[in-house]
Amino acid sequence: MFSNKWKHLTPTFPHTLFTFSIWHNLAPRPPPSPPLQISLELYRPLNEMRFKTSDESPSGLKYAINHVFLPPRLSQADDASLENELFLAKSFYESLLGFRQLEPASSEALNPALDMVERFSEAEHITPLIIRAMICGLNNGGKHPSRTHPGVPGQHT
Amino acid sequence: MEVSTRAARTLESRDNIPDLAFSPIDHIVFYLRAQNAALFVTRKADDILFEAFELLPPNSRVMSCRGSLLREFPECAALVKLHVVSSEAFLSVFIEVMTKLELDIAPNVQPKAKKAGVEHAEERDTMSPFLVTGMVMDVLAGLGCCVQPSRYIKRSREQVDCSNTRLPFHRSPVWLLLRVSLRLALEHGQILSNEWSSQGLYKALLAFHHCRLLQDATRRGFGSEVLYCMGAKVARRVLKLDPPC
Repeated sequence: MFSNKWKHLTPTFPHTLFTFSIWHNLAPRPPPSPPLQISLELYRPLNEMRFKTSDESPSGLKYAINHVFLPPRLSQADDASLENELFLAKSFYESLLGFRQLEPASSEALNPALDMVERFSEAEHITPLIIRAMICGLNNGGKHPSRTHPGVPGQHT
Repeated sequence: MEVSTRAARTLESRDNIPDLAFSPIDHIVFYLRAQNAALFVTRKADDILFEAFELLPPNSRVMSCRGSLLREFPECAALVKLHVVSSEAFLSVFIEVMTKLELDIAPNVQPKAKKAGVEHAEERDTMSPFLVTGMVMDVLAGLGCCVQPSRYIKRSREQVDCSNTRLPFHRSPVWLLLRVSLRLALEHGQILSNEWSSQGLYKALLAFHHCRLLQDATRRGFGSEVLYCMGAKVARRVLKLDPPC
C-alpha cells in the first residue's frame, strides 16, 4: 500500500506527457511528413505590431528601469505585462545591436547571441510551428568541441 | 491565472501579422512562463544540448537573504542525438509538451499555504520549475544521456515587495532569462578575439545596456532621484569592466 504522504507527488496533470517517455516508440507512427522546408512564412514576428519605442511606451521604459536597475521605492504590486516584457527584450536586443556597431571586433562572438535574443523578442509565445522551425533549423552552435560538456553517458547528475 | 489568459488572448490576435523568412540560428531559448523555467537549446555537431534553469527563486529564499543571492546556472543538462530530436515521433510529442507547459499551471508544482488546516494554492509564491528541470529533462536524459552542465555562478539581486495588493512585485523573469541566456550563448560560442573574454564581453554588454536606458530616461525627463540612482549603478558597472576603460 502506498502511504498517503506521497499522494501529492502522483502525477495528476500531464497524462499525455507519459507518452513522451514510455510509449512514444510504441504508439502508431504518423505517416512521415515531408522534409521541413524553409518556406516557414508562417513564422510570424510580433514586433511590427506590438513593439513600441520608448517614446511611445513610457510604461515600458519605466518597467525596464525598475527591473534592470532596481532603484529604491519600487512598485509594491505585480507589474508584469506582455507589452512591458516585450519592450524589455526588444530594448535589450537594440542595445546588443548598438554595441556590435560600435565594436565590430566583438561581432563574431556576439552574432549567435544576437540572433537568439532577436528570435526571442519577436516571438514571446512559442507556437508549435515556431518550435518545429527552430529545432529543425538549428545551426551547429557551440563551435569549439573542447567546450562541450564532458558528461558520462547514462550517469545522472 | 491571469497571465495565461492574457497570453492566450495575444495568441489569437496574432493571425494577421505579415510573414517573415526564416534563417537558421545557433541557440534557442524557450520561456516556459507558467513553469517559471527556461529551456536553452544548442546544437553541437550531431547532438542537441538541452539546458534548463529556474527563473524566479522561491519567495522564502529571497526574503531570508541579505544582499544578493548566489545562484548557479544552468541547473541541469541533457544531450540527445540529432536524429532522435529531428524524428517526427519525438518532435510531435515535444511540441505538445512545450506548448502545454508554457501556459498551463499544474497543481502539483503550485506552492501551497495551509490555512485553517486546509491547503490552498499560494499564488503569491513562485512556481516550482520541477516539471521542466525534473520531468522534461529526465525524459530527455532517458532518450540521450545526462551531462554535467558547465555551471556559472551568478550574483542576483532579487526583490519581493508586497503591500496592500494581491500579487507581489517580483524582479522580471524575462530580464533574468535574457541575461542568463546571453551569458550561456557567449560561453558556448567561445570564438573570442584577444580583446574579449566571454565574461568581459558580457559585462561590457550589460554596462552598455544600462547606459542606453539611462540615456533614454534622461531624454524622457525622469525624476532626478531616479537618474541619480541609475548613474550610480552605471558607474559601478563601468568600474568592474574587464578590460577596464
